[in-house]
Amino acid sequence: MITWKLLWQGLFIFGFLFFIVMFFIFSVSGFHELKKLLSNRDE
Amino acid sequence: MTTLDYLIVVLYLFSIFYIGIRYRDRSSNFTTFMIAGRKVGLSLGVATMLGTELGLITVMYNAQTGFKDFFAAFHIGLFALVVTMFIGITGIVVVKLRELRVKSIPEYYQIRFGNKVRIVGAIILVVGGILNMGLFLKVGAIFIQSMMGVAESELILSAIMIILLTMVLIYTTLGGMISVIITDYIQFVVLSIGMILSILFSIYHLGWVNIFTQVEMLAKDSSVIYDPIQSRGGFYITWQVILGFVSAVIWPTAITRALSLDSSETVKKQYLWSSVSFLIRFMIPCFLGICAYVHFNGFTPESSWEKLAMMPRYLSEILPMGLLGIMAAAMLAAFMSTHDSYLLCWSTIITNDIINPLKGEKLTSLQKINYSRIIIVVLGVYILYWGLMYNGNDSIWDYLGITGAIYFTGAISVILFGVYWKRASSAGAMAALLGGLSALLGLEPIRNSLPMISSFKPEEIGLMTLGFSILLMIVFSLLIPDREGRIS
Repeated sequence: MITWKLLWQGLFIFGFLFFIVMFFIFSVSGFHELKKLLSNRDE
Repeated sequence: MTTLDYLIVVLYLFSIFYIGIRYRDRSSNFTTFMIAGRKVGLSLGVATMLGTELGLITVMYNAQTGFKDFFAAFHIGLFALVVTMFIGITGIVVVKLRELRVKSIPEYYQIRFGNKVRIVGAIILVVGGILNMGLFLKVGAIFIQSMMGVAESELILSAIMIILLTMVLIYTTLGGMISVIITDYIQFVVLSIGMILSILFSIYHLGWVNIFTQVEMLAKDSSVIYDPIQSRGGFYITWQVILGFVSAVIWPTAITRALSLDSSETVKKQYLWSSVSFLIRFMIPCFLGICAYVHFNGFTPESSWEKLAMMPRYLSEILPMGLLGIMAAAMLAAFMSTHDSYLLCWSTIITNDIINPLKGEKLTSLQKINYSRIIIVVLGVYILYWGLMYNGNDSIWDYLGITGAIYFTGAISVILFGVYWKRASSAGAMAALLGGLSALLGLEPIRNSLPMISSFKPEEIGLMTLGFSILLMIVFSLLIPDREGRIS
C-alpha cells in the first residue's frame, strides 16, 4: 500500500508543478500565436 | 455565490461572446471553419488541446471517479501520460494522418479503403460521438445548479440546460474553428488559474497529510484506496490503457486539433507536451473529488448523479468570494469550450464525410458551412432531449467509455491495420467498423434488459468488442482482399 501511496503522491506533485510551468509557458507563447493567427485573414 | 461572483461570471461570458463573434467573419472557408486552415502552432496547439480536453464534463466525471475510487483512480492519468508520451515519441498514426493532409478520420478511410467505408465509418463515428456527448449538457447543468446553490428540481435543471445550450449554439454556429480556438485559449488561461488556486486552497483548507489520513480513516475498505488492481481489477485497468490511447490518437476532437497544426513535427511535439495535459486533466479533478469526500466526512450518496454534485458543492463551501466567481466562470468557459469543439467536430464530419460524398463532392465551401450550422442546431436539440430522458446509473466515465467504444473499437482496428498492414482490405474495414457497433450492448439500459450479458461490466464488453473488431478486420481482409492496391 505504501508504494502505491508514494507513487500517487509523487505523481500528483510532479503533475501539479509541471502544470504550473506549462501554464506560464503556453499562456504567453499561445497568446502571441493567437494574435498572429487572427491577423492572417483567409479572404 | 455572492453578487461579486455573479458579476465575474456575467462579465466573463460577455467578453467571450464579444471576442468569439467579433472574429466570426474569419471562417469564410470550410477548411478554416473545420481545422483553422492548418495554421495552428505548437503553443496554441498545446493550450487549446488542454482547453478542449479539460472541459467541465471532464472535471465532473473525474471528480466523481476520485470521490468513488480515491487515489487508486490516479492510474487512469498515469496511463494517459505514458500512452500520449509514446504517441509523441513515435508519431504512431497521428503523423501519418497529418502527412496525408486529411481533415478527418473518415477522409483517411476513403484514401485507404474507398468511399463506402468513408460514409459508413463517418455514420458510425457520429452515432458513437453524439451518444457520447449526450450527457454533457445535463452534467454541466448539475454543476451550475450545485455550485450556485440553486434548489434541486427537475424543472430548474431543465431551465439551466436550455440556457446553457442556447449560449453554446449561438456561439458555435456563428463561429467555427477560429472561434473554438479563441475560447479554448481563454479557457486554458482562466481554468488553469481556477484549478491551481482551487488545489492550493484545498490543501490549505484540509491539510496535505490530513487528506490522506482522513481518507484512510473514512473509507470502508482501506486496501482499495491506493491500489488500482485491488480496487478495480485487471480488465478495468487494461480498458483504461486502451481509452488513454484512443482518447489521444483517434478521438475526433483530439485528432482534429492535431490535423490543425502547421507540420508533422509540431504534431509530435504537441503530443509530447500534451502527455502532461492528459495526466493532469484526470488527476487534478480526481484530487478535488477526494477533497470533497474528506470535507463531507465520507458521506457517499447512493445515486451516481448525486455523487457528481459533491465536488461543486464542496467548492462552493470552501472557496472565498471572488475566487468562487472565477472558478464558476472558468467552468462555464470549460463547458462552452467542450461543447463548441464537439458540436463543430461532429457537424463538420457529417457535412464533410457523409453529405458531401453522397452529393458527389459538389458542395461549395459556403454550402458546407451552412449545412454544418444547421446540424449544430439539430445536435443541440438532441443533447437536450437525451439529457432529459436518459436515466442510467453507471458512472459518467463508464458511460463515456462504452459510447465512445461504438466508434473507436472499429476505428482503431481500421486505422492501425490500414496504416501498418498492407493486406488490410475494404471488406475487412467495413466488417470491423460494423463489429464496433456491438459496444452498444454495454450501455446500461441495454445491458440490463438482456439477461445473457447483464452480469458483464462495461469494460468487459468494451474489451470483447475490441477483440471482435480486430478479428473481423483480419478474417475479412484475408477472405476478401482488395482487387487493386490502394495507398498503404
